Amino acid sequence: MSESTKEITEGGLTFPDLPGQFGAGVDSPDDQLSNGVATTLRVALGSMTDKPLVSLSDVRKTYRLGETEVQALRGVNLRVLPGEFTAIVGASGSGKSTLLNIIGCIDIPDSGNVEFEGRSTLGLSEDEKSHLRNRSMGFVFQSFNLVPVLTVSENIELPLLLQKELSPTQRAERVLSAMSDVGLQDYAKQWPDKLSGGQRQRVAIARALVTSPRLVIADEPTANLDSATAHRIVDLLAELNASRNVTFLFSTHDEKLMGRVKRIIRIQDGAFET
Amino acid sequence: MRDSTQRWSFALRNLIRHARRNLISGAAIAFGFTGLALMGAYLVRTDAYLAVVSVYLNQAGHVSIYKKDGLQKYLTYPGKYTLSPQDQLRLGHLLREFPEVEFTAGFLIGQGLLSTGCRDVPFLAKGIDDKKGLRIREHSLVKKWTPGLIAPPYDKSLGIYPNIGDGISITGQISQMMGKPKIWDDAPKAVSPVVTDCSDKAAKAKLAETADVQMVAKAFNGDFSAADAFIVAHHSTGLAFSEETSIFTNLSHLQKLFQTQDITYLAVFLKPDTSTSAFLDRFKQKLDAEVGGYDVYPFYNEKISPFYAGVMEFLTTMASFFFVLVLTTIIITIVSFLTVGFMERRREMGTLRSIGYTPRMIAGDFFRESTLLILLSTIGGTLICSLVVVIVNSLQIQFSPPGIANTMPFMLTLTPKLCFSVAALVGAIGLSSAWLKLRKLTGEPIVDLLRG
Repeated sequence: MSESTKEITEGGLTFPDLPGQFGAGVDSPDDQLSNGVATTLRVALGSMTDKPLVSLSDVRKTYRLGETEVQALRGVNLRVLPGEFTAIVGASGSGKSTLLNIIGCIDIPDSGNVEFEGRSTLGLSEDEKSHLRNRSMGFVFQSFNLVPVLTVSENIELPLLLQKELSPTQRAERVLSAMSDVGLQDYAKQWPDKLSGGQRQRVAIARALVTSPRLVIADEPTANLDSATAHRIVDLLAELNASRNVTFLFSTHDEKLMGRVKRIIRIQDGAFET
Repeated sequence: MRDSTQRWSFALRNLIRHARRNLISGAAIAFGFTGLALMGAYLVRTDAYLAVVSVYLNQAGHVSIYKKDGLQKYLTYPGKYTLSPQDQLRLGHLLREFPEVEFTAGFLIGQGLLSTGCRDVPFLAKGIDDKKGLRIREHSLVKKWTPGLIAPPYDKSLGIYPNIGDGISITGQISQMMGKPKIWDDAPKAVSPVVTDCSDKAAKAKLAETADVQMVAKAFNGDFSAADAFIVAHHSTGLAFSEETSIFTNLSHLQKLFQTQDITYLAVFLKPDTSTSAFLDRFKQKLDAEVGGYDVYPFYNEKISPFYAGVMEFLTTMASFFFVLVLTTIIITIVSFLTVGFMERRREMGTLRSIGYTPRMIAGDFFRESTLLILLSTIGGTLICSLVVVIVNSLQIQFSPPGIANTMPFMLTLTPKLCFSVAALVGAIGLSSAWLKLRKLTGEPIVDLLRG
C-alpha cells in the first residue's frame, strides 16, 4: 500500500459515499453491496476518483457458427471503477465470457471501444496486449488451467518470470506472499494433481494476484467446485478485493453467490438487463 | 524457469509428463532414424569395400596417370601410349609437392597367353614392383575393408618371393582353367615334363603337380616374346569380370617379356581420409600448367573402375528412392505426433498467453520439448542401429552379388559421421515442422486456445 492509502473500518459504512468505489458507471439497477464481506478496507486514494479502470462503449460481438450468427454482445456499455468487486451474472451463452474476454484483451469486439485505465486497448499490438495482461491483469479460469508439470509455487511464479526487473529473491517473496494470501503456504512444492479443486482454484487465484494487477478477471471460477468450496472461493476473492484493493470482475451463474458481491451486472442475450 | 536450465528442465518434465505419447512419438522417430542410418550403413560399407577393391586390389590407385589418350589406346598401341622413365621422373618430381600422397606405384599392363603346354589361357598381366605390391596388399584399409580377399589362400604376395624374379600370381579361376592348382611352395623348382599327348590323363596329372607355366606375348616393339614363370600365389581381383584373365607379376619380369622400360600408368595412393576429388583438382591444375600431355583419372571414374561406378550409381539411385520413402514416412509421423501433442495442449498455450506470454515465447518453450524428444529419439535410434549392426556383422552373412568374385560379407558400417548426418536431417525436418506448427498454433486467438 502506498502512503496515500487510508484504512476505512467497515461498520455501517455506506459504500456509495466513496466516490469512484461504487455507483459510478453502473448500467444495471441490480448493483448492490455485499455486507459483512470484509472488516477492513484499504482504499487507495488514487483510485477514489471517477476515472474508470475499465470502460466499454457500445461493444458488439458476433460469432459465426457456420450459417448461423450468434450475437454475443449487443452494444454493451460498462464502467468498472478501481476496487470494485463485480459479478457478471447470466445464463450459459448469455455473453458473460465474451464480455470478460474482451475486457481482458484476449478477444476483440466487432465494434465499439474498450478502454483500460483510460487507454483504448483495441489499437494495441499483440506484444502490448501481452504486456498489459502480464502487468495489469490477472486471470482465473473455470477449470483452473494450472500447468501440471509445475509445482504450486512454480505455477504462481509463471507470470512473474516475464518481469525481468525482479530478482529471483523478489520473485520468491512475492510467490510466498501470494500463497499466504490464499492459504497455501504449506503447499509450495505440491503438484497440482495432488490438490483438491478448491485448492487448485486458490493456486490460480494466487497466480492471478502475484503480479499485483489492477484487475482480476475470473470466468466462472466456482463452476467446477462444490457449493461449500464455491462459497469459500468467493469469500476469498472478496477478502482479497478488500485487503489488496484489487478490482475483481467475475462471471457466474450461481445465484447463491450473489449475496457476497458488491455489484451485480445481469446479462442476457448479449445485453445487460435493465 | 525463464533461465535456460529451468526452461530445459521444464521441457524435460513435460516430456516425462506425456511419457506414453512421447514414447510412441520417440519410437517412431527412432525407428525412422534407424531405417535411414542402416541404409546409409550398407552404402558406406559397400562403397568402402568396392573402393578398396578398385584402389588397392585392382591397383587403380586413388588417382591414375596415363599418357594422353593412353587409357583408350594402351592395349592397341602399347609402345606409343606408355610412360617412359623420363615421364615417370617428371611425374614423381611433381607429386613430391603434394603431402597427401602416401606413395606411388608404376604398373605395366600387357596381354598375352599363359600356357601349360596343353592348355592356353589369355591373360591381362599387370606388372608391379615387388615391394609396392606387398605394400598395397598389406595396406591397413585392405585389411580393414576386404579381409576376406587377402585371407588364405590369397595372402601370398609376390613380394614375399623376392628371389623368384619370374614369379606370377594368378587368380583361382585361371588356376582352375589351366589345371594348375599348385604354387611354388607346394612344388618349388619343379619343372613340368614335356607332354606330347595332352589327352593323356597321367600327363595332365603331372602338369598339375608343378607350378611352372609359360608366358607368350607380342613385345611392344612387335617381336614375338616368351618367358617362363612360376606360379607363386593365387589372388582375387574381387570382381568376376577380371577373374578369368588377371595375372600379377614383377614389373621387371613383365618389362622383360614386353621388352620395354616403360610403364602403362602411374597409380597415386593417397593417405587415408584424403579427399580424392580435392587432390585431383589441385593436381590436374598443376599438371596441366607445368607439364601437360597426360590424362589423370580418379578411381571412381567409370573408365577406370566401371564396376565401382556402376554399382555405386545403381545403389545410390535405389537407396535414394527408399530414402525418400522412409523420409516421407518419418516426416508424416513426426508432424502427426507433434501436432497431436501440441493440439492436446492448446489450453495450456491459451493460459500462458493470457498471463502475458507472447506466441514466440510459448513456441520457444514447446520447441525445446520437441528438440529434446528428437534428440533422445536419435540417441535411441543410434543405440538400436548399433545393436542391429553388431548382430548382422556377427552373423557373418555371405552373399554373391552380381559382378563380385567369390562371396562378399553382408556387413554394415555405422560411422559417427553417418549417424550425425542422419540425426541432423531428422532433426532439421522434425524441428522445422514443429516450429512451423507451433508458430501457427500459438498465434491463434487466445479464446480459441483456451477452449482446448
